[in-house]
Amino acid sequence: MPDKILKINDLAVEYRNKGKYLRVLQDINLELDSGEILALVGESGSGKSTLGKTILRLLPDSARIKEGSIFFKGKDICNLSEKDFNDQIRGQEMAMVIQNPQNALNPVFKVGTQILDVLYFKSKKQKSRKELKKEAVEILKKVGISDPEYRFGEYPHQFSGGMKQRVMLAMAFISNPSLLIADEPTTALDLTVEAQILNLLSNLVEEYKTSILYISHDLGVVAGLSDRIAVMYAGRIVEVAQTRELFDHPNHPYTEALLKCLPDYQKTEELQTIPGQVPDLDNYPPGCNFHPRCSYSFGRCRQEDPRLEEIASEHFSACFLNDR
Amino acid sequence: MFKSQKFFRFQKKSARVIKIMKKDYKAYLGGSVIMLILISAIFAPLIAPADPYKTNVTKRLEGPSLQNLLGTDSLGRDILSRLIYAARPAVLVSFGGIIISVIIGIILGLLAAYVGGILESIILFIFDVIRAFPPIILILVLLSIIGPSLLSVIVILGVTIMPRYGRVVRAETLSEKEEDFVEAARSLGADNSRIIFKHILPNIFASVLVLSGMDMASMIMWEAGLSFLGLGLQPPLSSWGVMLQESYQYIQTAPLMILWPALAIMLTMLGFSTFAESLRVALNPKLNQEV
Amino acid sequence: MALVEVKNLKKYFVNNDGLLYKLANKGPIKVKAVDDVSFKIEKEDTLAVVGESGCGKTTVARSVLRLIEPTAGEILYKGRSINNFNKQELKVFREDAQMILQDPRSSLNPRFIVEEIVSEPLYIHDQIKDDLNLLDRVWELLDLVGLSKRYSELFPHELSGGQARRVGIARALALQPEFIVCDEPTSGLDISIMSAVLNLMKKLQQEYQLTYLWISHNLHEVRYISNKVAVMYLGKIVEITDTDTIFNNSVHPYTEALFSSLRGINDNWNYKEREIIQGEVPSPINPPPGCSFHPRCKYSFDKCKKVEPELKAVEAGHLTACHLYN
Repeated sequence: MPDKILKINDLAVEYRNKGKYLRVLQDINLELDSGEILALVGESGSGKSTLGKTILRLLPDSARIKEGSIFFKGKDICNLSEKDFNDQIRGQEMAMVIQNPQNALNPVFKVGTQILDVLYFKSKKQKSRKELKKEAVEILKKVGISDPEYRFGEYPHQFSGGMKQRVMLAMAFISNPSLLIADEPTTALDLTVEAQILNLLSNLVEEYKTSILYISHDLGVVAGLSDRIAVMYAGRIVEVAQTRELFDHPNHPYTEALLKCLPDYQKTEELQTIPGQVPDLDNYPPGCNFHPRCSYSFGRCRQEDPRLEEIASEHFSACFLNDR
Repeated sequence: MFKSQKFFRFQKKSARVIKIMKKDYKAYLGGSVIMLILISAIFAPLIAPADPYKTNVTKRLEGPSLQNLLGTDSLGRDILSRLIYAARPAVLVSFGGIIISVIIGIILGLLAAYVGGILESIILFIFDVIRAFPPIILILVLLSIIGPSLLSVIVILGVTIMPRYGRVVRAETLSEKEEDFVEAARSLGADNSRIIFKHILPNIFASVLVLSGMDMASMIMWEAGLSFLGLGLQPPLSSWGVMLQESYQYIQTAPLMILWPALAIMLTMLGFSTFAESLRVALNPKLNQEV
Repeated sequence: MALVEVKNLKKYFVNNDGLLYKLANKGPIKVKAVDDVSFKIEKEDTLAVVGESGCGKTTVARSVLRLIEPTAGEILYKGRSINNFNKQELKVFREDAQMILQDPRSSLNPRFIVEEIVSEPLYIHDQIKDDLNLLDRVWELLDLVGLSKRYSELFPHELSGGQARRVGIARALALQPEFIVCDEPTSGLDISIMSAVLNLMKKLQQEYQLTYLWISHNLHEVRYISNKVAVMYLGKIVEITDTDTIFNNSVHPYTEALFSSLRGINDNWNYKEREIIQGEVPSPINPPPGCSFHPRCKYSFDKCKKVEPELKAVEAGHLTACHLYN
């Protein structure tokens, strides 16, 4: 399948904690087409950030991939050596934008210098930094930073949060990556600035034909951005569907409950709540992870793990209700 | 008073701290050393096998034997008994000095952080003046003015170390003052004394505790050093410092003699700091997830 | 009579520290965090104050409870000015008016167990006659916010974000207040927990006739919880009216821009095709002259650059500060 940029098969990731291994991710199956924006949504502790880190191989030492494989452009990246991965893929073919732009830029170097560094390494140290400066200013301009020549010589603290995130996007797109992993890049930003950044991101995607794995907890943002949505709960993907399809016809009880309790300005009915809590990592219930909070659960939910199955065209859900 | 919810809560909380410390080998290690020293200090006459002041010139500089477990010193006195009696000044100096510096430090530090303005500048100036002198010179000058005695050593050591506490308390108070829970308490109508004693002090106490655990040990070292210079306790009164000083002259002929006071000092330092560390961890609910 | 009335509230933060600054003779830096804000909150109403970061909404919240002293202006609570309250009167006021702080966990003392946290206001205001019955009262309060008895013995770090938030609410309810200032009480909470907290706050309001001043940047929740909305921009209120009106017939260009960035899951639209307001909020140290929104406003004309617009009624109960309407 040449079209699939990313293909994850039966991925499971564990964390070691006090001698025990805790499953953070389980049975992850996911595919990403080129030029597609896939949103990964879930509440805190659902494992969505861990999945992003696993793909970029940025997991801490205490974590390991238990089973499964990740194919990136048909190549199994789990078996690549760290050096090869770093040289060929990370920062070249795959890039990442993180939640807090404040922490992502080095405060003691000028913003321009940091962009130049990326360009310099991209040119394989062939071009001098002077030659690259024009290119760098051009990039700043492209991401909508006004007066880029002047801004080029400023330090990160002189940039607002929104501008820093623009710079981060600029740096991520320099190497023209095939896949960008965006981990809640707009959570720390104001509403109007968030809209600006997402607008910029959409335009960049169109121009560079980059695929994006957009990790977020904000369904409202995702609605206007993504092509498809994958909903995660307690380390599993419970539902994957086209964006509109998911909102209009949610299949999994968790998705349904989540949509019902989302405060939305167009909603007139009362907000609902999901009883209970997200289970702890070391205390997952047997069977379907959601069954203790699910109002439809029946005998089988307590015993077997449901797997993602196609219930309609391009609509996958992991729920036994569909088998009934 | 003893049948109030407040008291039950206190009981529950202290039971919790004890339960945590019971699981910590550091607490046992430090606690037993401290107990050993306290018992020696309090019951010295009952424990000591011989009179620490009784000289016996015929038995000078003897090695360990059944009669004198740790041997005898240059005047034929029993070293073990002298070590046990010397725990008294060690306890007095370390506890006394720390209590003085902690109390003054907390008061001045809180005042500086809470009142601010000129008072803060004055207090910080006092701290800086004390810290500007190398401690040994300051102590020597003060001691030569007041005159060497146990009490003056305690007071002077306390005052010399005090700015450390003052500074820590002030810095921590300034940051705790801005914490959300302090603001919450203010919005509930709590007055300054409640905020200080209920919210700020318990939260900065950990830093003070760790610092004092380390300083207690260094107090003993200071006392030993001063006695070594002849400015602390005066012979024939025994202190570990005095004993170090005495045995130093015989390091060639009776090298074991210097080992005993040195070991006592080292063990005490270890005991105090491990116990303080264990207490700090036990007092902080965040560091004990499972009880 | 309104329960709370804020009249021409101003809060300037002045920074004139630093020898170099004095030598350069630049004069103190003045940050107008809140500049001439007035509003009323009627009993049992919820006024939501919305705006982007740095617009001064948190400063308003803290001034209303006199946690910071305003530079100028007056705050009336039940017709009495709280600015002139002495210590005793202030304490009585603090029994009536409570606050829920933004961060659920850091607003709880890490060394207190929940029982101590929830009962603290009772101790402060000497409402404990026999403290052996204290636990019953604490359990009652916890029950009110949907927590079981066993939580009374836990420390804050043992609670999840949503539980910590509930404990904060229980503490605010302990003195049976009439007025609660809620400073972004749902920020940082997961969706399912957020909806539970919103439902709880709404239920409590109906049950105990509470009045809320609700600070927020989440417009979805504002729609759900409030019946009045004030939009702030750079320390000023630019528009204030009923929630329905602001969502359907807002008039100020900034409100329009803010609400057009708002999207629900049922809007069929995407970020690619949208026209989006450009620019960012200018620094409050050096706000633009005239209307502070004019550099970003697509309707701005000459007058906007020179004259500061005043908050005036466009219709009954709908005020805005824009030259387009005056």
